[in-house]
Amino acid sequence: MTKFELLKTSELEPGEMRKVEVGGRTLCVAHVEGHGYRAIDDRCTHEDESLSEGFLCDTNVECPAHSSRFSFLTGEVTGVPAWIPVKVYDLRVEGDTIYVAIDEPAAASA
Amino acid sequence: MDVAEQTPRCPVSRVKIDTLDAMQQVLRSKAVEENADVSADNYICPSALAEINVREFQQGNLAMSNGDLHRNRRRLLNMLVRPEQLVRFREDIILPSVDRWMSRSVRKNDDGVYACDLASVVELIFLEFAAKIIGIQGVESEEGMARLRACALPIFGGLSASHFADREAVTQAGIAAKQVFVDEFYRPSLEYTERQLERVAAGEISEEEVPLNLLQMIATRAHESYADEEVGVKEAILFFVATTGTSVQAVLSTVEYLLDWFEKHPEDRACIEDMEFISNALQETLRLRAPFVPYLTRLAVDDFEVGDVKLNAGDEVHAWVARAGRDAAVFGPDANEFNPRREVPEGVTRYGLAFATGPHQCLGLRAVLGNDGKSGSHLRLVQGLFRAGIRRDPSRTPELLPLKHSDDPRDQIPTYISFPVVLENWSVDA
Repeated sequence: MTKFELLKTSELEPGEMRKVEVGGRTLCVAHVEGHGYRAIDDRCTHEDESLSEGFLCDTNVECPAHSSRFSFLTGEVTGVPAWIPVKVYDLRVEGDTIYVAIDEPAAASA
Repeated sequence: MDVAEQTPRCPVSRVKIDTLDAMQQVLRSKAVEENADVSADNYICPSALAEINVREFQQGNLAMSNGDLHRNRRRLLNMLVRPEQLVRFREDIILPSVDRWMSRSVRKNDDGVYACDLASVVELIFLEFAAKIIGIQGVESEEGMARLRACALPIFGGLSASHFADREAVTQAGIAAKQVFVDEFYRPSLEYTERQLERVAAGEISEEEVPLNLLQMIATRAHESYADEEVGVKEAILFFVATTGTSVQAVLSTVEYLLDWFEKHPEDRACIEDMEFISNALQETLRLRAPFVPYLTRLAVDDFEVGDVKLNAGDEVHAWVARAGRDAAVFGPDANEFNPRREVPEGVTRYGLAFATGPHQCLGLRAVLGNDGKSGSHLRLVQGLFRAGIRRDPSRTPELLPLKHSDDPRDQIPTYISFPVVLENWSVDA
C-alpha cells in the first residue's frame, strides 16, 4: 500500500468534485457534505467517460454522458445503465492535506 | 458471423454479427461508427432514393454523428433523461396521458365488457410523450393528436425506407409527412418556445414555465449545430420516431408474454405488484424482440478482430441484436423462451443489447427502466394494465405487419398493428 498526497483541503469545497491523477490512476475526488472527502475511480464502468465531469448528487456521482450513478460511500451502482461498481479509495486527512492509499500503483486508469 | 455478398464496391463486405460477446465488443469499439449511407442502404448499393433518405431524414441527427460531435451532443441531450426529468415525465406527462387516452378509448363492447385496441391507445400515449419531450404543442386534443399521428408512420418509413419493398412510395409519403410535421408542429412549437423564452427574459414568467425539452435546447442554441434548422428538424424527427414505435411494441409484447406466463404460472399473478418482477418481464421482452427491426448498422472505419469476427476498414456491419439476445451460450438452452425468473450471468444485462451499447446506446434506456431500473414509465403502464384486468379480446384477432421470410426462428419478431384487449376491472372512474 502506497500513500500519495492528493489535494490540499482548501482545494475542494463542500459539494465540489475534481479529477486527480495520482499513482498511475485517475480518481474522482469529492467533498461530500456530511461525509468528508471521498474518492472513486474516475472512469465510468459503463462507458469511457469521466465521472468528475458529471454531477455530484448528495452522496452519489452521476455520469455526464448516460446518467449512471455511483455511491461515493460504497462504489455501488445507484442509477442505471451501469451495473458494475467503481473502486472506492481510502482517504486520510492530515493537517491541511488529503492523502490516498493505493495498493498497486498502475498505469492510468482512465 | 458470415461475410455476405461482395458488391460493386469490392472488396468491401457486409459483415453480420449475431453473438452477444462479439456484438458487445464491436459496438463499443472505436473501429466502427454510425453512418447515414450505411443505415439507408446507400453505401454498398447507392441509389437516388437512398440519397433522398439520407438527405431528408438521417444526415446530421444525433444517431448519425460520431466522435466528439456526438459525445458533446449526447451529453447535452442526456439532460433530458436525468433522474429528476424521468420523474417529471412519469408523473406529469405519461401517467396523465395514460388516463387521458385510456378514458377516451375504452368502451363497452357488444358483450358489455370494457374493451379497446391497446396498440392504438399505447401509440397515442407515446406519441404524446414524444411530442412533449420534443416540446411540440397542441397534442392533448383529439384533433391535434390525429394530425400528428398521421405523420408518425410515414416519417418512420422515411427514416428507415431501406427496410420496405416499395421504397419510392414510402419515401415520398415520408417527405410529405415531414413537411406537415415541420409546418404544423415543429415551427409553430419552436416559435412558441422562443416567445416563452423572451417572456422569461422580460421577467413576465419564471424559468420553470418553460420546461426543459428538445425545442428549448434548440431555441437557446444549446449546441451550435442547432442554428441550422435542418439539424433541429432531423433531431426532432429522430426523437419522434425513436420514442414512439419501439415503446409501443415493447409494451404490447410485454403484455402478450405476461398474459401467456400467467396462464402457465397463475401463482405469479400477484407479482404484478412487484416492480422488480415487471421490470424483469419487460427486460426479457426486450432481450427477445428489441429493437423491433432485424439489425442495426455500422461502418467499420478501422480493422478490428474479435473471436471469429474480422472487420476490415470500409466494411458494412449488420448487428442482429435480437439474435444476440437469444444467444444460448449466454442465456442458456431456453434462450428463445420468455422467463422473467431467468438467472442471468454476472456481467450480462437482462435486456441483452436491446438498447445497443457503446457511444450510441439508446437514450431511452433510462426512460424505459427508470433511474433504479424498476420505476420507469413503461413499467408503470404495464402494471396499470394488469391491475385493470387486461386479457386478450376473444372476439378479435391482433393484426401484425407481415414479416419478411426467414428460416431462423429468432427473426420471428411480431410488429403489432392492433392488439384488441378487454379490461375486466376497468372503471370509468379509474
